[in-house]
Amino acid sequence: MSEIQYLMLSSTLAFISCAAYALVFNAPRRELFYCGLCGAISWFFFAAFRDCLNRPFWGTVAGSAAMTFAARFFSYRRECPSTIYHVPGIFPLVPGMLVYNTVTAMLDGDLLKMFGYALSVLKYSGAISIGTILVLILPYSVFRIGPTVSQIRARKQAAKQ
Amino acid sequence: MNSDRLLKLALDAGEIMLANGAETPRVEDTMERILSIGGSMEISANAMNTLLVASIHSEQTGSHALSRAVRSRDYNFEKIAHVNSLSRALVSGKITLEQAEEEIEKIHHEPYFPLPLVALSYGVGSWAITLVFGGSNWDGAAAFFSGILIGLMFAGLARWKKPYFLSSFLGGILAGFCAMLFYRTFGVDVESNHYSLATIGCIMPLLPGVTMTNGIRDVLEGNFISGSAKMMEALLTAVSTACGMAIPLSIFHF
Repeated sequence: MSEIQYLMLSSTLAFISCAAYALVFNAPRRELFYCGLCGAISWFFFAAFRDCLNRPFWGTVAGSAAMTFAARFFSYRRECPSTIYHVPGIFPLVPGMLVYNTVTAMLDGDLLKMFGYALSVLKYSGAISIGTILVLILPYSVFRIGPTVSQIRARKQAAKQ
Repeated sequence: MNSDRLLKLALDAGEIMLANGAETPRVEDTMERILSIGGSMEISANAMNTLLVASIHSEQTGSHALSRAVRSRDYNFEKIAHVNSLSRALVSGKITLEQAEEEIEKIHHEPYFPLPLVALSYGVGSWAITLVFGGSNWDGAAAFFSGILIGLMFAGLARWKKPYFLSSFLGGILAGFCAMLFYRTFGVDVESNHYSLATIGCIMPLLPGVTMTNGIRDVLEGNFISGSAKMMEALLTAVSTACGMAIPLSIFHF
């Protein structure tokens, strides 16, 4: 499987998984698609940086930045709080493997390894925050691209009359 | 405008948002928006991790303040979205104060998705994310199986009052046990498959990624109290998940 195909396939799976997890957190029915889209975006950037450039740390930063950008744009477009898109979008970036490795190292009694893994968990969650904050400091007016949902609806009604 | 009723409405709205996973700046924003329809200049709304304070001051009625402790912590996006749009409708004058009070009461008792659907979608989510992380088909199946069980537990616990770390702790235990049970029952070769990936896929939503991010964000913005409290909460939740995972691991592996 070529790299592009792998990226596309795994992003689709990330889309499914984030939409499903958003449903667990009781997201509004109409927003599930956009929640999944945020997850796909964050995984796409992370996987692209990790596999093509071999930079997982910067991949996490880029993924969370791109995902926050999308979340804030959707929040303007769909007129919903951006948290709804942001929480499911973060799931593919959470360093779960490192948490697991920390636990196994602890059970092995290898304290040095355990602290190393625990610090990498902190490093990667810091990377998520850095990416998020980079986009959050932008003013909200940046994201006002195109009409919102209610404006589109009003236009359609006006066209009918 | 009756400032007592306004304060109560603002606190009700803030409580719903804070208890269902909204970040503190958003809660403060919504509360201030609701208080501002009283026409008073001196209003303030403060939200911390577990505490809400709102005050209002005007020449005619004097000073009023109200505080409330918020204990329960869950994620329910639909309620956040509803309260948000409700406060906007109230400020723009589309609904009156009485209607808003009725709406808030309705939002409190809003239905969840049906339990089987929640459990199934938890299973589907775990299956997909295990494959995303590079698991084999057997890993995906194991994650689906244990994801359904965790989803049932998760949805069942969401309706009860519980310590905040309980669901992540139990989730960690269940994830490890169910995945191992699945591998043993179907005779899957543990060496060539990734038991770790099946476990991680299930516990992904229990790990406090968002709480950690919000905590660091709050600290950088200068909200040290809620920021450090959130980081502490994230740390404890992660540790309790890890402890939960350690129990089945120590039984089966060592």
